[in-house]
Amino acid sequence: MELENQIEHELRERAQQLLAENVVDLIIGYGRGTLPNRVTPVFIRKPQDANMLVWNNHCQLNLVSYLQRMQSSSKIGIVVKGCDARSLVGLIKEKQISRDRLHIIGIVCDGILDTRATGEPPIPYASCQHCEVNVPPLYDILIGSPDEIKPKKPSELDAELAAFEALSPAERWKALEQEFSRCIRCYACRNACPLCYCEECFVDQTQPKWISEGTHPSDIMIYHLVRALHSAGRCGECGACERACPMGIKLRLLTQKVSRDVAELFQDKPGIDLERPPALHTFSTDDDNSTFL
Amino acid sequence: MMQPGAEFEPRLIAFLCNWCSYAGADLAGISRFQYPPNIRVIRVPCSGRVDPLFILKSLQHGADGVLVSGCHPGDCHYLTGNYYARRKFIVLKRLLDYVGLEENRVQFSWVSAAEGEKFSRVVADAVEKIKALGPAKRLVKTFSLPPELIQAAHM
Ligand code: SF4
Ligand code: SF4
Ligand code: SF4
Ligand code: FES
Repeated sequence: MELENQIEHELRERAQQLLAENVVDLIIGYGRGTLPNRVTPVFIRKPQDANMLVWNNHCQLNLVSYLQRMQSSSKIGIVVKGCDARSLVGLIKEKQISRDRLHIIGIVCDGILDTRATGEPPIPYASCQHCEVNVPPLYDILIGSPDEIKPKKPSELDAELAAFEALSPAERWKALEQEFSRCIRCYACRNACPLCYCEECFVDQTQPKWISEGTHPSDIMIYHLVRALHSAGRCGECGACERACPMGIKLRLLTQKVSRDVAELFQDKPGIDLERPPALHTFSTDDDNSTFL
Repeated sequence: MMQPGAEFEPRLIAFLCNWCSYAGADLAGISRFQYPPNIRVIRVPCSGRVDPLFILKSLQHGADGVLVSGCHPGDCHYLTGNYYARRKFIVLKRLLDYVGLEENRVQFSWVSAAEGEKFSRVVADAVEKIKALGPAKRLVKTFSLPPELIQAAHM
């Protein structure tokens, strides 16, 4: 708590300065929510409002998603954690936002607490447990000290994926169908993802109509497979999709699989290097050819 | 509808690129190389045009298998379309295997315009593998209609 307060204090100071000196017109950050342990996005335009900003281990939102709705020419300061910064790097690379319009306020983050886990003490989200970007890969100012990061325990995610892969194909299909049978097709997962910025998502298209409305297991599965594929080589592993899901569906079973394959096949970790094209927007003549007869 | 006792004849959708594999299929025909009649060809400009959705949608609507075929790496009419396709399809293929859609339901190949014989081999091979798997069941969009209704539909 000590450390967080220090970060929060510095954050407010810097934000106030940035607004007072007109470095930015707007700061997108976290503010106090209406429920305990909840934060809400705040959009701050006046220096005197900078003390509305908060920082704590409940700052789970990926604020980068809000940038897409800010297409004016104003200069924006945005508060990002490491994983958020990865999606920001992705958006810049995909020319969705210009780097010049951003003032990135990076925060050294030691993990966000899983609001759905019931045990004591509270544990961080699965996506935080294997986080390798406690320090954001891109920032203009950095708040917090990398030395304060606690050493990570081995992630439960690896074990979870390994256990799933150990099942037979038929069992895997059944397990996934069961997991996704709870999906109500609300698309909160898509809307929360900073990289799902398509003006018209394939699920909403009518010409052609790729999948029907409703919750037929086949349509649900196609939605999730294609969403995972669309995130291939782009997903910054922020976990925002999974946290947004009202049904608590383990979306990481798909997104993490794709992320791991991309890392293994193309030696790429999306959202780290601004110069490197996304893995599926490029190719090498030496790519693995074993899929083809 | 399959007659009881009849051998399972799978339906495969084949997405063939116009410049190589489609021409290869043509050559197979002209040269009278035999291949099983189980494929329904959809001609596409380039293997890079094939969206994973085409494949999933085919399976959803009753294809027992899907074959995607394009020019050999380095020979794409659009120079690089199949290199991009190769990355896309290896990720897709791994994901499909992972979720438990049977291996070989979806297959990929490179067949040039001069490889009529290879084309017939690829198709024969693909059909064989799908026969071994049996009719597609996963991802197929079925509606549970009462049996009387299904029967009535087939009268
Ligand atoms: S797919 Fe999920 S984990 Fe990946 S970037 Fe989008 S919201 Fe984050
Ligand atoms: S799921 Fe695919 S089509 Fe839909 S918004 Fe995301 S990237 Fe776009
Ligand atoms: S947020 Fe959850 S319930 Fe909603 S569409 Fe995504 S997986 Fe389905
Ligand atoms: S034109 Fe044949 S693969 Fe591109």
